[in-house]
Amino acid sequence: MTVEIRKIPTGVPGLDEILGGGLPEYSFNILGGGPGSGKTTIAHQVMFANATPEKPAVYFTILGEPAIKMLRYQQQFSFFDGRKVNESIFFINLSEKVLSASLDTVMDEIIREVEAINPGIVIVDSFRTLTRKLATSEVDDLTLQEFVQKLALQLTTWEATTFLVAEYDDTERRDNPIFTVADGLLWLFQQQESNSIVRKLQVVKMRGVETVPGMHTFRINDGGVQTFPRNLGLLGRDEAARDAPPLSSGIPELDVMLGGGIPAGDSLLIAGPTGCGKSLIATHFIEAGLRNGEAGIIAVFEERPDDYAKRADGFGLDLTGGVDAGKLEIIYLRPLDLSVDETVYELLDAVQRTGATRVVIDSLAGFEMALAPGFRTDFREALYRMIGALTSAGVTIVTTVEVTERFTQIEFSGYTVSFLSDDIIRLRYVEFDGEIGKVMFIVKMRGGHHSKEIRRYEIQSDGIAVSDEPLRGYTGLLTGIPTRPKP
Amino acid sequence: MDPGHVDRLALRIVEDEGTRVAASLHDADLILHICDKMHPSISRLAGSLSYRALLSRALAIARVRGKTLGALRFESDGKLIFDPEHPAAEFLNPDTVRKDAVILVAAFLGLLMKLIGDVVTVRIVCQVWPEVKAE
Repeated sequence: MTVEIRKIPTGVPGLDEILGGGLPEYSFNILGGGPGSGKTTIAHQVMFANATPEKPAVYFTILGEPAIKMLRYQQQFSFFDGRKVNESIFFINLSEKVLSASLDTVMDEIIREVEAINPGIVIVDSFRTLTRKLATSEVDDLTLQEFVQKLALQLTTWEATTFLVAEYDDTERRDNPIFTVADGLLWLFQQQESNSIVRKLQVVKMRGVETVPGMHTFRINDGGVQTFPRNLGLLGRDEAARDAPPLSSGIPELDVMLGGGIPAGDSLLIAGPTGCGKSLIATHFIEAGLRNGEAGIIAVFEERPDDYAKRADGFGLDLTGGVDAGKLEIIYLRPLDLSVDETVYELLDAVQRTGATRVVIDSLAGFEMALAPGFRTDFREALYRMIGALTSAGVTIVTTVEVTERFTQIEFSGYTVSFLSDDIIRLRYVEFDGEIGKVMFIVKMRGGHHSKEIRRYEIQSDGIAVSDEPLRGYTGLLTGIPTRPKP
Repeated sequence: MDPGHVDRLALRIVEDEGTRVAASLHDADLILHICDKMHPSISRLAGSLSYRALLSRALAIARVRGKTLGALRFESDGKLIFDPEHPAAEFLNPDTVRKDAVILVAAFLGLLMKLIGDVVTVRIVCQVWPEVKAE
């Protein structure tokens, strides 16, 4: 019978998904990266997530961060449970042994402690310091590799899952004999992008599991390290949601134009120039859901949630009541250095938390500005991933985008993202008899029939009012300067 | 943990050790004995250097209140010894030793709590003095 490799939780949100379900039990891993990249924190999360009195964890410290300081800082994270220290988690300092004794003595000490404690998790931090120390003595690469191999053999045989925490820079990954021995290589990076720093994690190798390839962004917050798998939300699709009836936009005449409403599970783009009511239409969409008992999420980037809700309330669209009732979350995403995956995570988390079926992203320009520069360069991919993840979750998305108005030509979006949207509503300023008026029309609806009419609309004290009659008798409406042929 | 609790914990440790070993020790040796007893646990956790650094800082804090503690000093190998020639040694008697031992242990534990928190400190204390665990 084939041996089954059990997967243990890492305790790092998102990392189990990246690892294809968790960390292979009894694996011997190297956790590498530069200073301050989060290695020690991940090691602690793994340890605190798994240590029990029956199967404890041992943390060997070697010449790296002094244990007192490490304990002081690590307990600032919410995962740190001081009650586990000396009960199921044991910190053992090997610095003096490393400084004063031979490689064999260090090995003997580790083996002695492992045999005495019988741990399920073993961490050696910093392993790099050990190899540096050995490099100053007469230990060659082969002896070091033999040391690592013996250590791996010993710890795996004793049924321990091991992490060697090591400060390596990226160039040292090549041709390093130690890495051949390891079952898993997890690498942490801090990449500078203009004035921003983006943290990324890569599973370079992990024997026995199918991992998610690529670079995954992560943050270090009060809870420790949190990773954002780059395939977040893209696997699986909620087909049942797509069979639901169309959703009302909250504007009856617009629903008629849309052929009955916005198809459930669609991504709808509202494109138009500044001040034409894009956010207000999106607000109608959310408010209609609230009136129908449906929860909603609004992601805002340029405006504080309170201000956004108050502005809607001013039109008689009660968002504040929805927030108070827990049916609506207006999420203000930090307007600096976001990663796409983090944004997707925040939105999917809110969708799960509230059971939302309607999501508004207001606006794409704000979203783009909130992203770290590296993600802005491929904004289309960012949008593809975000919209894909949200629609896969079965929610219906309304996105707003500002377009520069050019009289004589029409654009659907400055981001050339129209192909990502199932449906597009275009708003436009048009001159009528020396006055500026507003018109709307449906550009496309991927799922079905829609009105081809161009209708006038106005922003009134109670929101958007769309004419129930199409504009007839004009030509050149799309240029913004229509003419009415003389009879 | 407030200073009153730390003092009571220190008093409990000193009383226990005093009852257990005082008869076989000279006066100042009680303080050295208690320090030696903490040494392996702290060294195992953080190394001998950390233990020495913690103890020297605790001693500096405790000397303000403990008359006899001025006679304690570290030798070059890091070992804590009592210097009978030091002027502070003249205050030595069983009462002052116990009182000053409490002051030093309280300073040591207080410092540890400040650095690594109450919970982890108490876990370490319980490892050295399991009978304290019940309290």
